Amino acid sequence: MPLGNSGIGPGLDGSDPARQLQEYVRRGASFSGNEAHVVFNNEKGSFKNVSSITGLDSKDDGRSVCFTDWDLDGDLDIWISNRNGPQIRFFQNSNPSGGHGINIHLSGKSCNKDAIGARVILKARDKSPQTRTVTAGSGFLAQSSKNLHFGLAKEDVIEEMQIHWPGNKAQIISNIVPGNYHIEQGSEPIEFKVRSNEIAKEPNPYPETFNDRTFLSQRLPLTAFFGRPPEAKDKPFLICLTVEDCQVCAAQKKEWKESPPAGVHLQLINQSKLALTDPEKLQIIQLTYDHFFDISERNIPTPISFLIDQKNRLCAIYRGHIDQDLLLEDCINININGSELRSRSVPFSGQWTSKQILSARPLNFVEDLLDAGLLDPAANYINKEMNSLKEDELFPMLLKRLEALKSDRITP
Amino acid sequence: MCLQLPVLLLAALLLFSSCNKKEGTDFDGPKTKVRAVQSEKPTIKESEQLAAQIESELILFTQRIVSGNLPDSFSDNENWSQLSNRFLNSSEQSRNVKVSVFEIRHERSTIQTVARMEMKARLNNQNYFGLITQFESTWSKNEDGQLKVLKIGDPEQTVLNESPVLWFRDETDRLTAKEPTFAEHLSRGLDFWLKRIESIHGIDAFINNGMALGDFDGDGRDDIYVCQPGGLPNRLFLHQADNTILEAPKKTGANYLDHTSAALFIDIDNDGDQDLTLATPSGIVLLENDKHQSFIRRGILQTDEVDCHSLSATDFDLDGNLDLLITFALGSRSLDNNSSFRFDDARDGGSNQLFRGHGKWSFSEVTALSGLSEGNDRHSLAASWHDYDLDGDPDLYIANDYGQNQLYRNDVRDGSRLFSEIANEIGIEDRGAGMSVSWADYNRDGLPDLYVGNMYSNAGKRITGLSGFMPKNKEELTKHYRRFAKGNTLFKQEKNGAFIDSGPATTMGRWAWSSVFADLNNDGWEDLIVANGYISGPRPDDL
Repeated sequence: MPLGNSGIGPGLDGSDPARQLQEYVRRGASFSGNEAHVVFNNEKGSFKNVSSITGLDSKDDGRSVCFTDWDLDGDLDIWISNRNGPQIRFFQNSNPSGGHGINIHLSGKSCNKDAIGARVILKARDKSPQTRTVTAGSGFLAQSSKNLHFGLAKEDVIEEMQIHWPGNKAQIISNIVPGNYHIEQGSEPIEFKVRSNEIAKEPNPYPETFNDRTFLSQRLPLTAFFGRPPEAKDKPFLICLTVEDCQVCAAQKKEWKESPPAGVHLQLINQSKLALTDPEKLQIIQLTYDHFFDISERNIPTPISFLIDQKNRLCAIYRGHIDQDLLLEDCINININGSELRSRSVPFSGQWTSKQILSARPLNFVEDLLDAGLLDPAANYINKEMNSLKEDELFPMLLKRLEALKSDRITP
Repeated sequence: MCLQLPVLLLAALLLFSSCNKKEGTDFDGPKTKVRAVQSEKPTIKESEQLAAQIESELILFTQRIVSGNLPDSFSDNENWSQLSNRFLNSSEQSRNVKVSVFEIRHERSTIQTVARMEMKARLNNQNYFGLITQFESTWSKNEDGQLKVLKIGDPEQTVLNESPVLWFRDETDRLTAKEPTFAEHLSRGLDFWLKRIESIHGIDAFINNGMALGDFDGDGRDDIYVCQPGGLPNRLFLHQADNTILEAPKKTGANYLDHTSAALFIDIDNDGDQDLTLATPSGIVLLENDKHQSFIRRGILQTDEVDCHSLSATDFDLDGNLDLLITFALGSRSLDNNSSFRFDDARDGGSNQLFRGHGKWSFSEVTALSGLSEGNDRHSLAASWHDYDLDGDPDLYIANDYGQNQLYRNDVRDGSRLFSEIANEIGIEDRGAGMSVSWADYNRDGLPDLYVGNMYSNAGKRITGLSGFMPKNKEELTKHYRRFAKGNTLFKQEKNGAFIDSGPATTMGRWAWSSVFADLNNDGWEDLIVANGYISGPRPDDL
């Protein structure tokens, strides 16, 4: 149940439960977390909880469950997708009962080729029938294999199989034993074989490595808070926040001392000192960092660096050590826009269906400042960025909110 | 508008972080009556605090059971001794316990609870052993706020399992080891990416992304397509001869960066290979399989809403061309001024859309034409097609969050196909927080049965079970709210076409996302698996 974006209205006490819940989760709390998967064994029509002996103990917030006999050994294996990492897990079936299995791949002729909707009934001697149906999409956001799997107890002898092709006559198949089969509508089963295929299946020659920085698709003006140091002249500048007792920070500083990064002006800030001398500024840095993401971190990771362009707009956020080449590359690309910027703003390559080009909305940033009670910085920001803010249709509302908060402050 | 369950769950969440765990209860102590403090009926918050305290006491008790260190007062109790003895021959490190209080009642001077106890261990003979039981306990609170146990009832409804092998082995590492993008990308969970990808790309803390299996490259082996939130590429992994996976080359054209909630491998053009469809906020993306080598984009079926969830394919009109259904949770419509969101009956969801296939990549939107607009305003998280009445055409079941579910029966009327919504008529409306649909003939009587995934919540059960949870005149609503914490429902189809709720044996699936049938142990009977965990954050406080 995705409570978070449910649009739930206010509670009796005027609170906003959905928003509260979002805030809890964004700050790292758990909600029905660390739950193991549950399995109920069907014992001839009645169910028993057997979770403790299934080995499905991963607690990474499972979502979709897909079944397939991945290794074609006659039992169903499981792929589960997860919210936490690893985002997919594979569980191989140990075939605990030692029974047989039969896999059927159907191919329609006068119905749809995938035979979606086909119902197969398998009758074993002296047993009630088993039924499987070809489905595309079931459970939660999942598609299992279209191969139909029937488990068969060791003593089971198959008498016949009926295939009810969608919108067509049923087909009866006798003389079939456990195994893997392909059945074309109207034809006898043939043994299902895997083939080698022609695609060069080698590891991707250009493995993408993930660099821990976000090259922002939105350019947020920050003149109000980060004045351009005269030494930076017309170069981008990089603000790096460090702390003591931090190996990465020390190594980074040493590296820059020996070989200063080209094309960028460096500005080092000691976070612990800033916390004492200008805690409000530190809070603004934290807010700036959180502004772009849907989850907040209680403590900014250090070292953390902000790349600011010639127009005093924030362009990139780096976590941890900065690769010199990457920084240089980012400085070169600092003025790209449109789809080029969009591609660069995500960690891996790929294509988009939508053509939507994103732009920053400084108004939302001012809202963040107001939410945090930073009224003076918000007013300051509004003054500095009046021209772009004025274009936002919600600007009059923002001003009203600021005035209201200010008068609240005067009359406690 | 009445109190809402989420508010209550939230109250419970708040206090789990604030309540301080007390010293362990003296289970060995003489059972002298403590002078109980007579107090007003506790608030929900106080009640939840007590439940948390009692739960931590019961964990200590459970640990003593599995370690064979039974409290003196229980040494004569055959039931508990027998249970404890089951763990005698097990290794200490392998023992694992979990306790959940799911019912709490406040009497004049005592507190009664019902708790579930789950224990497992590896026995010395190498067998895996698990035990689930539930029991009542009675407590009192003295003037210092100290809880005293007055009575622990006998274990009831005990379930034992023992097996020389675990049913499944986690082989993820072996299968993914050769593929470097796995370590770079999918080995990291959503929380990692949320801090690194701007939310504007379509990634948020509550997002869900699915997965599909199908044979893309025509080698007879299922490949796997993993959907991702906006800003991360979906990944197509090809199934290798040694059963490991490698990502398809970039030129395949499967790495979409839009938020993709679900995907399906289907042969849309009936040419014998597996095409791919994606549910995205831009619509349903149609990708044609080109000679088992790559995908050609054949268009996007525009949708009216953006909060897409499930995608399913069927041939509802039996014309040989596949049709597509996409469901939506949140809707863009705003409620009338007079009505507000109802947790138990939300009608502000996005309208689901049905696209009829005409072949040659042509589709038309037939939602209204086919009669699916009836009640099409709920938060639909899952849908599944199945010919439940065995009349030869597929019917549609939709699981809705915050309200009742729907069964659309596929009927031929005046020569055309029309759906009729009859969930209430046949007893499968299952009003709750529906998240998953699975059909199977689990009892092998020839009639399709249904398993619906709904959340199960101990906190929800405790709170909605309190007397005075709601005013006396709101009995009907109280019932609905209790239902919302109950969990999954297994519906058995009767010969007359009606369905009956087959009871509590399969309800406790926990949060329960995919809740699905499959014969996991090759005995011919379809079992149930429930994938779990809502959000496991870095902080341990939880409901």
